[in-house]
Order: sequence, then C-alpha cells, then structure tokens
Amino acid sequence: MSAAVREWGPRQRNPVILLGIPGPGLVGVIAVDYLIEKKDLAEAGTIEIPALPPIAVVKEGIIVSPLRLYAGDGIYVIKSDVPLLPSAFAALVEGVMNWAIEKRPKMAIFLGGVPDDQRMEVERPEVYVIFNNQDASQIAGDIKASKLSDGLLSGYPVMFLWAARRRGIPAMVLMAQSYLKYPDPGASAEALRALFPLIGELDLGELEAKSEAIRLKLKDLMEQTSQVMAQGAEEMRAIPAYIA
Amino acid sequence: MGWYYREVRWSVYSVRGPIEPIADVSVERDCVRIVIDLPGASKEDVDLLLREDALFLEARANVGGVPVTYRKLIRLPVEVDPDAARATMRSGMLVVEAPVKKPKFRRVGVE
Repeated sequence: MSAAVREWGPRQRNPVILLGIPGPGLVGVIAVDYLIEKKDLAEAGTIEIPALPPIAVVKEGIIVSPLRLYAGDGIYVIKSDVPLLPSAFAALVEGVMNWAIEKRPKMAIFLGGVPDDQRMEVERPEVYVIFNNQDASQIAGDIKASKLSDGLLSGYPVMFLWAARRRGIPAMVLMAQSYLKYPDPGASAEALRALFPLIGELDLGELEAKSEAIRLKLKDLMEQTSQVMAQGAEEMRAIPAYIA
Repeated sequence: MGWYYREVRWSVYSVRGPIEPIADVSVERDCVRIVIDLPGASKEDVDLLLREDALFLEARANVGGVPVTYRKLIRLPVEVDPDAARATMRSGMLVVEAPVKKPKFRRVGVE
C-alpha cells in the first residue's frame, strides 16, 4: 500500500523534488533540513504511510506527522524525522512518485550518504551520482558529482530510481562519501554544493560552523537509524551500497 | 503497548547530565579499534582509561557555547593489551587502537 501525500498551499510546476531520510551519516536529513532553513521553505503538506509504526513528532503540544513536505522557490522537499524500514520506504517512494506525476518535475533527487571506512582520512568527501535515464543525466547538466560507472547498486536508491523511472520522471541519487554510524554534516555540505546548478547557490558557512552542534543534536536519531539500518539490511540482505 | 515521550529542544541542546557518545567497536585482525564521536572535544579534554576487557572515557567539551560532559563505559568483545594501546583525536573523533591480548597456554603437570 503506498503513502498518501496531503498537500496544501500554492502548487509548483516543473519543480525539483528532494527526498531526505535518516540513513548513513544522516547526510540526507541534515542536507534537506539546512536547505529548508536557508531557502525559508514553508511547510506545505504531510505524508502518511500505513506501514509506519505509531510515531509522531510533537510541536508546541500538537502531534504532526514525522514525514513532511516543504515548498518554495521551485523546490519541494520531503523530509522524514524517523528512520524507515524497507517496506515503509517502498510505500513512501510509490506514494511520492504518484503525487509527483502531475507536477511534471524537472528532477527528483534522493540525497544520502555512502559509507566509507576511509571517511576520517578525507577532508572533502567525494560526491557520486546515478541517474535513472538519459534525460535525467542531461537535465542534471553541470552538477559537481562523479557519475558512477559500471557496477551494482543496492538498497533504497534503487527503489527510488525504479519508482521514478516507471512513471517517466527523471531522477537521480546523489550520494556523498560519509560515515556510517556518525552524523556527517561535512558530507551533507558537499552534497548540497554539488546540487547548486539545480537548486541555486547556498551559503554553507553556517552548516560547517555548526557541525559540532548538529552532530550532538542528532546523536539519538543516528543511534536509532543505525538500529533500523541493521534491521533493514536483514530484510533486504543488503546495506545501501555501490560495488564497482 | 506502552507509550514513550522524549522532550527534544531543537534550538539549544538541553543538557541534564553526562552524554553517552556514539561509539563503534571493531575487531580487525590482531587489533581492537574503538571510534567515539566527541563533538567539541579536544585531546586535552579527554580522560581515557583502558583495561583488558573495558574502556572508560570521560570528556568535557564546549558545543555552541554550551558545556557538555561525555561519559561512556564500553565492554570490549575480546581482551586487549592496555599497555600497548594508542589513542588519537581526529576531527572530534577519538580513535583507540589496542592489540588483542594473545592467550597464553601454560603447561600443567599431571600428578
């Protein structure tokens, strides 16, 4: 059963749609959170997944869905505050792509981290990209990411790319070299930097300056995510990875 | 089914006591490697104790103007040689490497 997207507010045509969920290094979540703040995107909807456990975020005494939609400046951002098991993620991407069809998005983007044992030795993480078709590759144009060549891709990026391809939506997965089990704002900054040609430039200084506070603030979410990733790997017999 | 609520203050990290930092322990060949995330801490702020089967850490840090204390006890999966251990600090992450203690067989006479 797929997710239901409930949208309010002004609609946007040909938008760029970004999806960030807790995963390796919390790269996607940190990146979209920063984008929402810097571009002052307004909350524009919620996403409900039947497969999700009974978890809600509490804001000023009122429960809100842990999956929310933000919009503005030609961009939609879908953000999850909770880690998702493969079944919940599958429902999410099916629901989001069904909702996205009528908007004729310019590009759908899944942001995440690709765990690397050598991350500690790296000053500036590499950013990699995989597209779901040739159109997406051309639309992406000048993004500063290395296109992965021949290999095997597994996990959530695959679900995302296939769901978009079945509906003719150009899509890409942007993955930054990251830690697996530690929040990685540095990787998020590089992922956002790579996306400037598609989303416009952002001042990343504050993200870099607040890196320590972000790592501390997201400690609990990272620990929960690590547990869910281990459970999810059992379910799928794979951890999101790329093998060249 | 029980219910659970945890207050999270997003603007200022609300510190009510020592924080248990994220740590990862891996056994690599003949060495145990422990990596602990200590945002805001420098090597001078870390008090590290190691014995054959456990590591205890306490560290003080300042994160965004807020004083933070880290404290963690980690039980190791195998015994190590604490005298040969090495600890380094990189980008706010503490890395401790200790060689696995080789078990010694002792000859026992049969009476």
